[in-house]
Amino acid sequence: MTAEAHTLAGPYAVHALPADERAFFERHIAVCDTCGVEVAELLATAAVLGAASEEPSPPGMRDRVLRTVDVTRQHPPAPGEGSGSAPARRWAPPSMLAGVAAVLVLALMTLSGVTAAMNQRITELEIALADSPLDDDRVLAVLTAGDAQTRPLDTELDASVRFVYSTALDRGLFVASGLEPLDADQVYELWLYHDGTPQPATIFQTDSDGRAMAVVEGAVAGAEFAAVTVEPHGGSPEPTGQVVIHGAV
Amino acid sequence: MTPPDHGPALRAVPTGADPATMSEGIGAVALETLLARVAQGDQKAYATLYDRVAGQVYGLVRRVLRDPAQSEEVAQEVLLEVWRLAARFDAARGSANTWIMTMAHRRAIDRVRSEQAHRDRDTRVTVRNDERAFDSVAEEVETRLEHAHVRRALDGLTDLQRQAVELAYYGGHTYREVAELLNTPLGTVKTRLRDGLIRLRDTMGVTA
Repeated sequence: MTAEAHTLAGPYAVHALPADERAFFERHIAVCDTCGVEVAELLATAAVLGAASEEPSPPGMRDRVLRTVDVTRQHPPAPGEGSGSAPARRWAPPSMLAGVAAVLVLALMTLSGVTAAMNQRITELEIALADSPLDDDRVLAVLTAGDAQTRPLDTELDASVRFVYSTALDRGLFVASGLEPLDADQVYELWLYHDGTPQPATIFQTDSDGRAMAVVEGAVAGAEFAAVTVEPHGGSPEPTGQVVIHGAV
Repeated sequence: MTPPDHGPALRAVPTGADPATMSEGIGAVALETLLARVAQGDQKAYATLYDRVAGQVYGLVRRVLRDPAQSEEVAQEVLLEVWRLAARFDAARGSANTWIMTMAHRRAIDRVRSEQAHRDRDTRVTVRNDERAFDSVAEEVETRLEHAHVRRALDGLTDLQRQAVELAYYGGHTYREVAELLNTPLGTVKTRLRDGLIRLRDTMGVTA
């Protein structure tokens, strides 16, 4: 097993491993000093290859990044020595999500100027994002997609609901605050309508403050309408409950 | 003065280097020192660091992704991540430049993979695409690689080592794809990637 693992140092250093082998090798280097040292050296070598591709960065980028930094909270130092055994990324700690909101600020500034209304929306999103445990990378990818669109959805609840999506990625991000927390035997279910037919997109629950965030994978491109209903635990194949949120996307 | 032990990831500013007086002679300040100041929320230090690394970050991301608009997005993400995660930088694991460039490469590759997953979830690379992929990567490498010592080091590899390293690192291919592109067994590609990088490390005198 060790001989097998050693050979992965090369592909690992150039990010050429599929996720499963990457995870396997990361567990290995956590306990194998020889491989740990070799990986550090090969990453440094790869970095030199990377630096050789230097070219002038786009002129507007510096201002955007510096402005974003100004409103972006930094992470605290890693807790304790155990950074080798990183916690599962899927459930990101809340502090990671603070960065997501900042990237959204950046994405919106990239797309158009910052207006007061937009600032308001960003603030709402920041609040909604602040404590949500979600996959940072997938969320970031939507928020920073070149074609990302933000659609406010209508609701009779005293809630703020947004659907951010990228047609190119075929992925969406549903963000809401002010929803009513449901009983344990119920869920919210998001539907995306294609040609007038609702397709189940995702089910979600809120936190105790009524905030929710959910990633939708696939069947986002081409959807014309979004709706949220309350469904029994586990969700339904077709909407059965009351529509609480709706709007064109 | 011995830096107090605040835990492994918080890198102390080197002894005698007073952050307040260090804005002069900025060119001489190590990236690690700048990063330590960035970790303390110093935006001026960040701007300096930005100017030092943004071209490298953007250049690498663009090398991998090609598309300028996408590259700009990803480069922005990376540079912002440097700000957010500065306190997590651990000098014991490598230099600041390696840390930043590793993130840049990882983010670029993530973008390649997520786009691939959408575009052709189940298609295999065809022979015609193979050739085009390799030719275009090779050409890019040829025309855009300015740093002569890197060029020379790459030239010092065997053909298979060089092709494997270029396709994986600059081309953003997994080693399985590289094996398919080069029509070479998987195990050979893994080994060539490793011994190719080791040779580059030795030729260029890289240390962690």
